[in-house]
Amino acid sequence: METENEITGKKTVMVVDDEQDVLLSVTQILEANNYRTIKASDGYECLEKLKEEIPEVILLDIMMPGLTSREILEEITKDGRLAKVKIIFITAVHSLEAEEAGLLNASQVVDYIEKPFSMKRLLDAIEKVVTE
Amino acid sequence: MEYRHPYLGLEPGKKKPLILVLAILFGLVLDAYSSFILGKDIVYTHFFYIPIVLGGIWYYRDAVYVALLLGLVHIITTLIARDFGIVTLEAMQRTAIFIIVAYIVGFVSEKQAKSLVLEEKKRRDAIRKSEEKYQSLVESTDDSIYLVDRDCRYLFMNKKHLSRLGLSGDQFQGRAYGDFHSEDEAKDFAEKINHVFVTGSSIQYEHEGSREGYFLRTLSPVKDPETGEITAVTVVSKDITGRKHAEEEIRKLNKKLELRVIDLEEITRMKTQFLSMTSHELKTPLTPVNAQLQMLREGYMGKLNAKQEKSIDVILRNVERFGNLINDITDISRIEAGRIRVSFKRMNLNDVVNEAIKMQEPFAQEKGIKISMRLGELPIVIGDAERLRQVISNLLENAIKFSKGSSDVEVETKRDGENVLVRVTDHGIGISREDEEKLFRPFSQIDTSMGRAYGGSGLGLAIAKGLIQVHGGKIWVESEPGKGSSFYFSIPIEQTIEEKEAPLLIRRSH
Ligand SMILES: Nc1ncnc2c1ncn2[C@@H]1O[C@H](COP(=O)(O)OP(=O)(O)OP(=O)(O)O)[C@@H](O)[C@H]1O
Ligand SMILES: [Mg+2]
Repeated sequence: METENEITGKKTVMVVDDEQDVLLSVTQILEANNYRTIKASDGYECLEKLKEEIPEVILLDIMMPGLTSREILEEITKDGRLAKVKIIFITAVHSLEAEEAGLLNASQVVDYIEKPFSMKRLLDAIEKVVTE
Repeated sequence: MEYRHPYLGLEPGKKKPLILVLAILFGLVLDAYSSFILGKDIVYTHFFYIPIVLGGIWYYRDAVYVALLLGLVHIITTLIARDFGIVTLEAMQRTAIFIIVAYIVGFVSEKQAKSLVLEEKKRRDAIRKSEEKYQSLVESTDDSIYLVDRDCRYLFMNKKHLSRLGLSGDQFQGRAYGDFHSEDEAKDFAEKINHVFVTGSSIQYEHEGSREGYFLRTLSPVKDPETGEITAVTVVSKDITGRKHAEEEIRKLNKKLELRVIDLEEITRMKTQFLSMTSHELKTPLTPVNAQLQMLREGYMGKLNAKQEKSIDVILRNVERFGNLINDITDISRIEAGRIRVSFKRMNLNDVVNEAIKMQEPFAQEKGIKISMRLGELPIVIGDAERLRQVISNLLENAIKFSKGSSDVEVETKRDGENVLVRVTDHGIGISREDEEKLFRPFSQIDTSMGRAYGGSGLGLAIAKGLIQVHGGKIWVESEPGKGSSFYFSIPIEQTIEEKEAPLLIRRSH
C-alpha cells in the first residue's frame, strides 16, 4: 500500500461522513487538489477500510449513526499500525462541545474544522499535516 | 365550712356556748354555796370559779357580752348571798373590777382570734389564687385536659374537653372514656392507661380520632405525694388536625415540586440537546451547498464568466450569513439557558482587538472608513479570546454599518482601575436614550425597517452582553442621536480562571 502512494506520489486522505453530499463534496475538493481519497460512511466502514489501507490523514465527522466518534477514536489510537495517522475533525459540532466530550485529547487529533467549512481552511489544514 | 366570728361576721367554729353556760352555772353554784355556807360575803369564793370562767371567756372569745354576763351573774349571786339586801359599795366595786378583768381577758382573746381569722383568711386566699392559676392554666389552653382513673373513668376534665364531648358542668361524673369513643379506641386507650399505671412513666402518641381529626396525646401519671402511688392519669390532648393536614399538603406539594424539578431538568436537558441538534441539523445541508459553491467559484467545474462569478458571490455571501445566523441563534439560546460555552485562558485583550480589526478592515474599506486604534498598555486578563473577538467584531461591524458616509471608527483600550476597558466609537446615526436599553435585548433592532436596510438579525449585542457577563464584566453605550455612538465593555482583571469558571461550573452541573 505504501508503494502505491509512492507510485502515484499522492497522499491519501480518508473521509468519514454519514452525509453522502458532504462526502462527495469533500472528496471532490481533495481529488481536485491531488489527494487520493478513501470514503467511509460510518465508523464501521472506517475501521474496516483502515485494515486494508493506512491513509496519512483521516477527516472525521462527529455525530454519525453507528459507532460514536469516541469509539472510532479509541479504536484508531490503540491500533499501533495507525500511530502515525493524523486526525482532523470536520463537523457541525461546536469545538468546545467536542472538547468537553474529551474528543480533542488524543495526540493524533491535530485540527478541528467547523461546518460549513471554507475550502481554503480545509486545504490548508491538510496541507500542513502532510508536509510535516 | 366557714369560720365565722360574731364581731367579724365569723363563727367561732367548733367552740360551743354550752361550755360557757356550764362554767357560769358552776361558778354560780359555787358562789352561792360558799356565801351560804360561810355566811359571809367572802371575796375568796370568787376565786374558785373566776379562773374557770376566764378560761371559758378565753375560749369563747367574746369579750363584752361575756364580761357583762359575768358581772350580772356576780351581782345576782351577791344579792342571793345577802338575801336580797342592800348591795354594798364594796360588792359593787368588786363586781366592777370583775367585769373589767373579764373584759380585758375577753378582749385579748378576741384580738388573738381576729388575727387567727385573718391568717386563716390569707391562707385560704392564697390557696384560692393558686387554684385559680391552675384553673386558668387548665382552661385557657386549646388542648383537652382530663384526668382518668385506672378504669378510664373521668375524674376531671377542662371546659375544652367538656365541649368536645358535648357535655357541660360536671356531667362527666360517673362516665368513662368508652362512653364517648369507639370500642377499638377504648381498648387501645385502656391499654395505654394501664401502661402508665404499670410503668409510672408518661407516654405520648398521635391519635387519629374516629369522629374527628388527629390528636397528640400525652398521658402522665398522677402520684400521691405521700405514698407515691399512682392514683390517676392526666391526659393532655392537642388537636393537630390542622398540622396534619398541612403536613399532608406539604408532602403532596413536595411531591409535585419534585416532579416539576425533574420535568424542568428534563426540559433543560432536552433544550440543550435540541439546540445542538438543531444547530447540527441546520448546518449539515448547508455544508455541501457551501462546498459546491466554493468549488464553482474557484473554477473547479470550469471557468465562469463575470456575471456567473458575481451571482455565486451573492449566493456564497448569503450562505455565510445563514451559517452565522445559525451560530447566533445557538449562542443566544445557550446564553438564555445559562449554558454558553467558553474556554478561559490568560490573554491580552489588545491581541484580540487587533485580530478583530483585521477581520473587519475589508468591510470598513468598502465604505471608505478608516479604523483608528489607541491601544493602551493592558495587564493579562482571563478570558475566552475567541468569544471576546466575537464581541469586538460585532461592535466594529455595527460601527461600520451605522457610520455616516466615510466617517472614522475608533477603537481604544485602556486599564481602568481594576478593569480593562474597550471602547468602539463611530460618528454614525447614533441612538436615542429610550432605545439604548433595548439594544442589548435579543432580536432588537431600533427601527426594524432600518434594521433590515442595514442587514442583521438584532442578535449581536444580546450575545455580546451575555458573553461579557460570562466574563464578569459590563457592556454599555453612550450615544448622541445623529452624532455617533460609543460602545464600552469592561472586564475585571483580578479574577482567576477558577473564579471565572465557578459560576459556569455550577450552572453546568445543574
Ligand atoms: N453603532 C451603532 N450605531 C447606531 N445604532 C446601533 C449601533 N450598534 C447597534 N445599533 C442598533 O442596535 C441594534 C442591535 O444591534 P445588534 O448588533 O444587536 O444587531 P444587528 O447588528 O442588527 O444584527 P446582527 O449583529 O445580529 O447581525 C441595531 O439593529 C441598531 O439598530
Ligand atoms: Mg450587529
